Amino acid sequence: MRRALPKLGVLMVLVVVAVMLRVTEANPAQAQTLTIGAWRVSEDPGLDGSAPEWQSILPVFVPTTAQQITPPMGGGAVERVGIRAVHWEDQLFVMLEWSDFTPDYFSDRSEAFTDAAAIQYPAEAGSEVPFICMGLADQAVNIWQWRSDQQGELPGLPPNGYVDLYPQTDDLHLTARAAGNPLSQEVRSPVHNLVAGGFGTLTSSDSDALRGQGVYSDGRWMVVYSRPFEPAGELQPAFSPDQPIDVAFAVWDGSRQERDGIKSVSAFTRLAITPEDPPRRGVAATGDWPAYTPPSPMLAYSIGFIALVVIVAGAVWFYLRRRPDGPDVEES
Amino acid sequence: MTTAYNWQLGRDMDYRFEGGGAKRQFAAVFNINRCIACQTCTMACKSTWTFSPGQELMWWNNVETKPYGGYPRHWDVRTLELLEEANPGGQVWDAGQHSEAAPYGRFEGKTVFEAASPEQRAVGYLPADEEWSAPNRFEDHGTGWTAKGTSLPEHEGWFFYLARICNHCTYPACLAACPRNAIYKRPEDGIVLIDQERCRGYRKCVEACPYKKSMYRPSTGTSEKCIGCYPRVEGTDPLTDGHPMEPRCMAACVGKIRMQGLVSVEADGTWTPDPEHPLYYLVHEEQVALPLYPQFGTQPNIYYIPPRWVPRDYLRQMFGPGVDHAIERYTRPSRRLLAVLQLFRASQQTIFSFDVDEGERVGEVMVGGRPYEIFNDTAIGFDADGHEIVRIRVEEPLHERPLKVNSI
Repeated sequence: MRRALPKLGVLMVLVVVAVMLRVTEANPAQAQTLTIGAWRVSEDPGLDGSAPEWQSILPVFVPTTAQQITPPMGGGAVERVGIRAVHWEDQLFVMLEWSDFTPDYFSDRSEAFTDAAAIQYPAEAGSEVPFICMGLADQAVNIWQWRSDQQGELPGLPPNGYVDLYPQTDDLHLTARAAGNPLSQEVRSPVHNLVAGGFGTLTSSDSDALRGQGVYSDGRWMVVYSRPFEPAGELQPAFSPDQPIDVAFAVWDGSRQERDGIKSVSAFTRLAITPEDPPRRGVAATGDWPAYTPPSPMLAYSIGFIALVVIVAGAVWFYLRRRPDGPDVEES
Repeated sequence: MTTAYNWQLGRDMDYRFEGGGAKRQFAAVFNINRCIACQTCTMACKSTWTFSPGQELMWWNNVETKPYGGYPRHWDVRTLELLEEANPGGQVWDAGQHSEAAPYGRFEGKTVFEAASPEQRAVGYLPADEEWSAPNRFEDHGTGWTAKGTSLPEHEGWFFYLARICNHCTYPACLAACPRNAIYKRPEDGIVLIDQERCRGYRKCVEACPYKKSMYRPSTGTSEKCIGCYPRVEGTDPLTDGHPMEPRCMAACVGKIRMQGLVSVEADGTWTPDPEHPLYYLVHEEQVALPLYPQFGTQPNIYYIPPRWVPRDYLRQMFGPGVDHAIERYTRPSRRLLAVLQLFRASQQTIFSFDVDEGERVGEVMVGGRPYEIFNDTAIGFDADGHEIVRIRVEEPLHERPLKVNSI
């Protein structure tokens, strides 16, 4: 009973907080502490997040945690994302950077999942902060999702696979492509423009105006998204220097089978488009991310060499042992 | 979480959605006693639906050798293990209290939905590519070379072939687990489909389906599954002139082990009483055909006449407590049951009702040490409008070939 008391206390506090929130109609998501500046730049910043123009900008670090609201829950492999944002010729550029030592480029096996990252905005700029998880029916959200597996070609045969003949290989026989699934098309964008109004409602929107690209380098993904200030379709916010906009981030680590709700998510933060130049620093800033040591081939070579020596020595010993004029190791 | 009535478990159970949602249900009976594992069904399906790039590891229909075979490897044992871990020692039946609404008694354990943690919709696991590849390998192959020849040590005297397709469950775990709501169950026939436009390849369905009949296709980045040959079930194949038709796997069955049907179901997922429907007769009247792993809780709609020669404990684990009754009925079939068994694969058009014309006594054999009389009754199958589509007798017709053969 005594051990149950602290749990009961926590529960009571939670109930009181929930009642207070209900009564005051306060939205905890609005209690923001972080504002991300979208700084003015005079040249096209490009979509390569590893470029010095991007890397020299001082990032804002946004903490992320496992999704624990609705099944499938979990994730949390990524603890924080570095955000940089700029604007150039009425286009917004946002870069997400995070540490991931296991890049996943293809969803080419049943158990292989893509790395991914997403930015979420309210569908209407200036509207009340929607529910953090995929919005609500009357408060839609606009999501830009980048997926590493959408950058390359769709996979071919499985490893060690062999096929005599595919009788038909046209698009009709790639069922999802024929059905118009944007993820299955031959020509795809690595970023998809999506809208949602609650769990399970995520739907593709016009993505022509949205561009993006992910670059993997030095143990980190750097993904740049870009879209003109003015939206190209419904349920997408307009960006304006006069109107800061709420923004949230999510990251998936494919190697840990993170997908859908199994992800690392941030709370809503604020993005403000400013006429000022970005605060810059030395490009070689270290300490932002865990040190990455690429897997060394030397270790594999060393083990292979030792194994070879052992095998050769064993073979020589065996040969000498069998020879009648060799060392007399047989029991006589 | 809402509740739904699962008559196979004899009780309400947790499910994400209310009721099954279908007015008519695609169902089938597979008579395992007849299966020879020729894999004609498997190839009929493969050559119809899954011959394109990215579908190399996909077998919507497969036949595996029990007890050791499985596609994907060890699928059933893995899921049983997960359930046992979630509810140690509790996965038991109370077979004593059976009724019309609970023909197998009451399952006291946890279903895949009830055993799930709050983070997920259903207990499950995601098989790796390796587990999907090389189906049937080593199942009934020789495992080693000896001076006397190959040896088959695994089977120790019994084995059987288990043909499997998607069960088009009344309460599908794939559907419940899909975070995108991309899976739906058609009200007109209960066939469960994955919307290929909405699917984003998260594979929660692959993970949740306890029968592992949802499969990932890398070439499109989506999951696919058995579609119950719905164009044939809809009757759009010109062969049957607009009438519902058996799926490819069933129509191709050499061993005549399969009979497909469409049964009327109530809002609570129970079958509308219809003793003239061959599937209702087999499943509910005679109770000779049983669901596969009913304890998973999805209310699967492919029913099996269990193999007579297999140890009962194993069969009870696989088909529930109705096994002993089913085998007893099948071993000494009633005249009506023997007649209905002739209707398997007698027509590729779906049979909606049957009748039996009694015939003369044609013989007597010993079954279980007791005499058993055989009558040459005639089974007649009708379509949905009551028109006769097939007529077949218990005794196989004898055709005498003319002396002068005009062929060759």
